Amino acid sequence: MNRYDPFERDITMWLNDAASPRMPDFRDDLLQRTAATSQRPRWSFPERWLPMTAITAGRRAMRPVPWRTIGLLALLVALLTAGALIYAGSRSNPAPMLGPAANGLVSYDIGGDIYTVDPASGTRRPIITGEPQDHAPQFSLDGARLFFLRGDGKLDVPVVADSDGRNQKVLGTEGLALIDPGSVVWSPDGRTVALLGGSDGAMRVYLADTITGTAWVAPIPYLDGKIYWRPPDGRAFMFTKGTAGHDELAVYSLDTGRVEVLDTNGITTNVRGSGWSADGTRYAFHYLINNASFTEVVDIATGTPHSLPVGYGELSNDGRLVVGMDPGRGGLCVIPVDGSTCTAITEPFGDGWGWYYRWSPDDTSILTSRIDGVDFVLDPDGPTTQTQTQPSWMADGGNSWQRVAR
Amino acid sequence: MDQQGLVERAGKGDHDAFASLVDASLARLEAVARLIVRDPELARDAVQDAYIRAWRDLPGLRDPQRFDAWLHRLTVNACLDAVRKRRRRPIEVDLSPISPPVIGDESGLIADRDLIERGFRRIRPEQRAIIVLHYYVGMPFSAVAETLDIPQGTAQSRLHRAMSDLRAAIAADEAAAGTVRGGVIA
Repeated sequence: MNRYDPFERDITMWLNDAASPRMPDFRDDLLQRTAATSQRPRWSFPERWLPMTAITAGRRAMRPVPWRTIGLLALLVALLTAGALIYAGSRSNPAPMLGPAANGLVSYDIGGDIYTVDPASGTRRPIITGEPQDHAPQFSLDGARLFFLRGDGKLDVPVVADSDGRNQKVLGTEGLALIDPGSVVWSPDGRTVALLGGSDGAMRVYLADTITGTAWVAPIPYLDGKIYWRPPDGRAFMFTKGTAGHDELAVYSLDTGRVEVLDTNGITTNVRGSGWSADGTRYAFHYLINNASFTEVVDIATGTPHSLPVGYGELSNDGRLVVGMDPGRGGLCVIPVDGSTCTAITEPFGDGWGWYYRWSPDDTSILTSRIDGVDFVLDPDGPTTQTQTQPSWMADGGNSWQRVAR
Repeated sequence: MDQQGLVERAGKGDHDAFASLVDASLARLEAVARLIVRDPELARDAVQDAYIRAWRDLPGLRDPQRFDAWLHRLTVNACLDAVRKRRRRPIEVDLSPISPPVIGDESGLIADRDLIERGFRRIRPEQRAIIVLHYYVGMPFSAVAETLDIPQGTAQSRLHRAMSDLRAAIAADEAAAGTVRGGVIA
């Protein structure tokens, strides 16, 4: 049995074709250079002879106690703590779980630590540091808490904390496997986190209750696509089920355990969710047909669909606008959910940038990431020639923008 | 003589033993470097740097059985260093035209390989490295983690993210070229 999915098999085949290993012509030159290079004497590697613990313990024991440094550090910690408390107090008013909110901090990870940056001032702060490899931070919808993943040497385990990194709580790992760090989605009630993961090419939906700490695999026939929690209570989510070529949009209820299929206007090819309106009365999905993607918005009460000429649409926080790819000219465009014309906000592009996009909490900006990892902030009002320069505060990345009260 | 014996002798200054180790690994590591840096000259420099460092520091290798993982780590680090140094120089743009997709029985395969090549260039070198170690070298997660000196869970999630980005890069390229054939774009 092959443990890889078709895409993985394609990659493996391509790597083997592209690599075509052969003895390089610089072999003799390389050996001449190494022969002319002196080896480091064996005694210069103390860890070769002693366990590292013994070395570090010995070093610690030999050092004089730096009382002055300790005093200064203690003073610094006290000042930082006081500053952090004042800072946290100034931001203690949580954002509404649904709809637009004010823009808060942006979180990101570097080297196994998690930081925040204030886009307004550019101020950066480490909030979760230390030995564990922590990554993939994601603020809750009210901005009060932070979900992240912690590498423990075997698995990435889910952890939840206050938005300043305090009160960390490791969540359950029941059934957990390889996690997609970009798939983390908080429910609107602020209780449950959904994340995608799996192995052997089969993705599953993991759910973690941040209150009880328990985690479990959702018993649903998940196929693909992002998870969108249904407002206003967040006790159900939208996902794509079915088989490749016959997709169905569905909603899974945590309370009843039932899966209900949503109306997709007869469309069954490459159907993926795009989001809900803030009041939960409308849902949006996108699909791919004849090499072009379009988005539909459906009113649940009437069942009436409205087609939008925009591909891979993503609803704004207030549910009024959709950003997506212009299927005709390429590039990003923005269209009202009831509109018929998608207004371009970028020039056409053909090399992949702009594929990921999401709305800022206040809906005044669209964050988009180039495939090479460079991020931009775009104005949803355009113009198409707007600057595609990465702001300095995004230099280290930033996938989660905190929502705070207006 | 087995590899462990060669490593022990090379660590004591036996250059002939080191040459045997080079002969047994050079072709594979040069291919690994080419896949990661996507530039033959840069790969050549990186591999030479890795082997020179290996020879210099071999006396410090405590466990000869970990030679392979150690050598892969040196190579990956040399590749990433080489890419970082190149970024400080003006970027060279590949102006070779992109072939339109060929229509026919083999069009899917040919287009796929072109798309994979372009997609692979677009993801970050660190992501290329982890994909190469797992899918080309065939390392399990535990070995990838040891080679990159990161926890196994982190290796898993980074590989997953790298593959997601590669899928997205390929899908974006397909969409831009109007050649999407029913992908899995989310």
